[in-house]
Amino acid sequence: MKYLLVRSTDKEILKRAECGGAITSLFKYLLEENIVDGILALKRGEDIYDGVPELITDSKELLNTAGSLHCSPVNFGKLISKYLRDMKIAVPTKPCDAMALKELSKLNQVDLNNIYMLGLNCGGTISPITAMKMIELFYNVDPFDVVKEEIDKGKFIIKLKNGEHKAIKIDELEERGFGRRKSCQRCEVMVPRMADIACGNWGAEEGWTFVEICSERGKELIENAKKEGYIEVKEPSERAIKIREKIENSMIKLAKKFQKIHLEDNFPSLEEWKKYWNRCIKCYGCRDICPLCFCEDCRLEKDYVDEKGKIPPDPLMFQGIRLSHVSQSCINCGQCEDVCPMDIPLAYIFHRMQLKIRDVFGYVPGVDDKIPPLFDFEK
Amino acid sequence: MKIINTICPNCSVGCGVGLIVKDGKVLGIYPNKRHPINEGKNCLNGRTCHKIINHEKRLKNPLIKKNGAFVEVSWEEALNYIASHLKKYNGDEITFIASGKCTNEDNYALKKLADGLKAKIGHCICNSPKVDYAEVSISGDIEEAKNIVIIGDVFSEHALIGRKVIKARDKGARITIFNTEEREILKLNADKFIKVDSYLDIDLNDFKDDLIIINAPIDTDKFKNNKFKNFKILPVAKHCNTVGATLLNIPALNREEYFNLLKDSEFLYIVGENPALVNKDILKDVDFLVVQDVIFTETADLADVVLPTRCWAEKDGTFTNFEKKIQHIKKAVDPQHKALEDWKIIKKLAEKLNINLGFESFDELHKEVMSYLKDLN
Repeated sequence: MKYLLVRSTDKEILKRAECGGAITSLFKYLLEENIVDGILALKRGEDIYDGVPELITDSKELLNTAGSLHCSPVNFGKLISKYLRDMKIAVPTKPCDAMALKELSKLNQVDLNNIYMLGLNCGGTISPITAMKMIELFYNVDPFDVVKEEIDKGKFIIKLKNGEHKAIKIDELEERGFGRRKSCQRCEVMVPRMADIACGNWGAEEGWTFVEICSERGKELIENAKKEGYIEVKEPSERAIKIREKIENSMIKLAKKFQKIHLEDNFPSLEEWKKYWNRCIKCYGCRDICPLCFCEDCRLEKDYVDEKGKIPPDPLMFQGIRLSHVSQSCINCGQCEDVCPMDIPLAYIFHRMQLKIRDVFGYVPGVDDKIPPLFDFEK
Repeated sequence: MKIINTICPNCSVGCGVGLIVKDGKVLGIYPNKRHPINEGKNCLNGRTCHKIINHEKRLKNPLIKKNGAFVEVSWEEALNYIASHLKKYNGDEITFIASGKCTNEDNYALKKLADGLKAKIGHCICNSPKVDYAEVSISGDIEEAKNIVIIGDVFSEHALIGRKVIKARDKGARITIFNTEEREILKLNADKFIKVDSYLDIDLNDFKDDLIIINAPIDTDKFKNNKFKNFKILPVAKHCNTVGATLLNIPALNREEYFNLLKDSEFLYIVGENPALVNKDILKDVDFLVVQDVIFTETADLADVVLPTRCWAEKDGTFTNFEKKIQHIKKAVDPQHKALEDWKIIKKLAEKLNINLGFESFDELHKEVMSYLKDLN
C-alpha cells in the first residue's frame, strides 16, 4: 500500500479543499485526537494572493486553510525551528518546506519526532505581485476579480467572479519573464518523499487526493484517520500511478533545463555580479530569512567583517562567509532572493554552489539521510 | 502563533511588514510578499522595527516630576495635573507639537484639541523636504523614468526607493546623485555623483525631463515657478506619517521654524518628538512641559509630566506614505503596561477641560479623519 487515493468524509472540507481534501481531513484528525498541539498552515488573507502562516489550534479554523495558494511562496522551516520547537505540530510541506525541515533536523535545529509533515506535490509557486501583474497583462483581467487559481496540465488557470475560467500555458508566461519563481523553475523535487506522506492531484481521480506513503508514521496516520472515519481510501489504478510518474519525470527534465539556462548559459558574468554586489545595503535579510542559517553568534556581525556599517560590504567576506556556511545545505528555496531589497539574484549563486558541492560529495540536501559533508566528522 | 501584517513605522515609504506574534508578544518580523510597495523586501531599519515594543526605555506609567524627580502616578492624577496647569494659560501661550510618527487619527485628535483651545500647533518635518502636499501631485513612477536626479541618500535611508532607482537604471536610466557626504553606495550606483557642501545651492539648470527625488531638507517651493516645467518632483519625507500630518493641515515646520515655535511657548505639549536630543537649551524657557511618547527621551527628562503611549504595534490607525497613499496599521499586541493610544490620551485630557472632540470611539474618529482627508481632495 504505497499509493492510495484518499477522500475526506467531511462535506464542508470537500467543498473548500483541493482534490479529495485529504490534507485538511488528516489535520482535523491529528488535532481533534490531540495527537498534535497545532497545525502550522497558510490561511487565506485579503485575497487569493495572500497566504498568511498561522498556527491553528482549533479544528474549526482548519477550513480557512483548505485549498492551495500558489501565489504565497513561504517557507515554514525557520518559523518552526525558531518559534515552534517545543510543540508537537503538523505542517503541510511543499518540497522546499520538507527539505528545509529534514536538513534542519540533521543540524539539530528541529526534532522531526515532533513534526508531522504532510507533503504537497509542487510544480512551483508564483510571487504574489508577479501574479497580479501577469493576470493584468496576459489575462486582461483585474487581479482582484480572480476568486480562485490553480495549476493544471502546465497551465495557470484563474476563475473569475462571474464564473469564467481563463488559462495560459506557464511556458509562455515564463518566456516573458513571468510565471513561477526562478528557484521553482529550477527545482527538481516535485514530490516531497522526505515528508510522511506526499499528496497531490497528479494521477488522482476527480474528487480524490493521490497520496504516496513515505514513512511508517505516514502509513499509520492514514490507517488511523481511516479507522476513525475522517477519510475514505481506495487504490489507484496502475495507469494513474504511471501518469503521475510521467508528470513528475517531465517536470524534473524541465527543471534540469532551467538549471542549465539559469546557472550556466545565462549565469551572470563577473562584471554583472560586481554590479549586483555594489547594491548590497547589508540589511542581513538573506541571512535572517534563510531556513538553514541558524548560528546564534553570527560571524557576519564580528568587527572584522562588519566594518562599522560600511555599505556595500565586501562581497567576498559577506556572501563568502554565507556561502561557506550555508551552500552545502542550500535547498534552493529562493527565500533569500525573494526578500532582497536590492533584487540581487542570490539563489543563483547559492544553488550553483550547492550543485558543485553535490558533484564532489554526492550530497543532496534535504533529501539524503547523510549529515552535510562539512559537518560529517566521522569520515 | 500568527502573523499580523501591518505597515513599517520607520520611514515614509510605507512598506508592508508582518509581525510574528506568539502568546501576546511580538517575536520577530516576517515578510509580506503581497504588499505592493516592497513585495516582502524590507531594509535593516524596517527589519528591526519591532524592537521599540520591548525597548529598555519604554515608558510604562504616567510620570509627574515632584521636587525634581519623577514619580509614577495614575492616569487620573496625571491628566488632572496637566488640566489644572493648562487652565492658567491663554491660547496663544499654549503650543502642541504633533508628530510624523503618530497616526492620522492621533494627529487629528491633537489638532482638534489645539483648535478647541485656540492654541498653536505644528509638526517638525525634521530632515524632510518642505512640501505643500495638498498642492503637489506625486508622480512616483521611478522605474519608468529616463533621467533621475537624487538629492540626498535614498539607498541608506529609504532603500525600497533605492530599489526602484536601480530597476530604472537596469532599464537604461541615467542616475545623478547629489549628497553632502561621499558614500560608496552612492558613487557605485550613480552615473554621476556630485558632492555638495549644502543642498541649498544645487543648481539644477542642466537637467531636463527629469524625475527629481528629494530626500533632503529643501523647500520645494523653489522649483515651483522655474522655467523647467518638465520636472517631476518626488519628495521623500522622513517619518512614516510626515505627509499625513501635513495633509491634516498641521503646519509643517522645518528645523528653524520648529525651534522658534518651541522657544515661543509657555505651555508646551510635545507628542512623539525629541527636540532636546538636538538642543537641550531650546526648552529652558518653557514654563510647563508635557511629553507624550513611547520611550523615555532626552526631552521627557526635562518634562513636568510624561505620558506613556502605545507604539504602532499596539494600536490601529492609518499612515499616509510619501505617495500620499493612506495605509492601515493593525494592532498586533496589547501593551504590557499602562500605555494608551495617543488619541485616547488626548480625548481624556479634552474631557478634563470640558472640550468635546466629537468622537466616542476609534471607529468614529477614523471615519471623521477619512472624510476630512477626502474633502481636502
